[in-house]
Amino acid sequence: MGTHVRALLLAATVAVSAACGGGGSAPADEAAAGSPGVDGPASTTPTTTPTTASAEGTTLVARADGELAVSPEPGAPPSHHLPATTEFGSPRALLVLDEQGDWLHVALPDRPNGSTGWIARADVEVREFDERVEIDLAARTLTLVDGGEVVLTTPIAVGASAAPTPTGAFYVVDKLATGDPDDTYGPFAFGLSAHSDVLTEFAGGDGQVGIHGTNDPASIGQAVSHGCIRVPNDVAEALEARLHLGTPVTIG
Amino acid sequence: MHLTDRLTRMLLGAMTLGAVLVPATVAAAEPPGPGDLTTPTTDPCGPDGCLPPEPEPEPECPPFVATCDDLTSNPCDPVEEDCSPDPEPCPQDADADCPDPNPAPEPEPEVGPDPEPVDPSVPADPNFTG
Repeated sequence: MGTHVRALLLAATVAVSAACGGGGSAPADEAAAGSPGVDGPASTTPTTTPTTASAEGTTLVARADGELAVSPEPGAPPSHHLPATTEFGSPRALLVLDEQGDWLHVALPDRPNGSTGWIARADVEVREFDERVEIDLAARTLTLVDGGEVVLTTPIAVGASAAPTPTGAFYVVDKLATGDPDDTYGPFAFGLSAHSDVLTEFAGGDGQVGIHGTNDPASIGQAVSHGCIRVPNDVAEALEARLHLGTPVTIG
Repeated sequence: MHLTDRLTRMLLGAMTLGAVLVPATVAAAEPPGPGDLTTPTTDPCGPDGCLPPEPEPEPECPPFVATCDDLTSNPCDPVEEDCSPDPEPCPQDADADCPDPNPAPEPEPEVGPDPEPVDPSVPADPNFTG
């Protein structure tokens, strides 16, 4: 299918500018430089490195057209309902973890991180994708894998020690265009199902973690964010063309 | 007439009638004489040597048309006919489900489409953790 575009080559350009502030209403007292406890850079020469490797696996994503009932067990009465769209209007997409008869075990985009529930298969459309994202906090890299083949690896900025990026298995729930490459979030931002373990509020939100571009390319390669993953803007543009709602994002 | 005379006449009449009804005996064929040649006695090879034997003509296959009632194979001219049963006629009842004579192929498993592009005409205001 069309999702198997290979060998995407990117070049990340680094320039020095102000750090990402995230809307100016961060609950944590960030440093004047805009960094919540800046850790040293992992790489001083951030470049995007196209590589080749092999991995496995496809992903099942449940797409709902309407409000979705979530049950704690297969066949049990629903414990709550998810709106048909996210806060930003994205269609509801849930990562499928398991299948049991007419029921799907899905990862929920709710706190606490790692929440799961069961939904009726009849209530959703199940799609299959090959892409996934792997984020290595120690190496401060993001790798996009498509059908077992590494498409790109890029240096990133991760959460500072005071607001570390949460670890675990998450997925993309929003794809947003800011309309301005010089925006704090760069041209594109991808909301994840992850939430900060430290910040319960941020810029009017609930501490949702995302992958996004930046107007501070110098921060790439450092641990300076409030938990989000910053990528070079050209990488953000490339990800916009490759990431689905529901694409798995593993942070470790 | 005396009885003896009458018997004599009847006997003569019967003999005359029997001579007419008896079929003529067919003369038996005579055995071949020394002048009748039943096997070649001349040398088939001429002064220039023996001629190659003439090729035997290929057997002519009789016209053959297999029918669905008689599928006897004909090695000379095998005929393949579509002997599948005729489709059931669609009932005239308008409410009845009539099978589609040309059913659509089975759909392939659902495969995710390309990523939905973000509509840049509606800029979003993310509030992620920066």
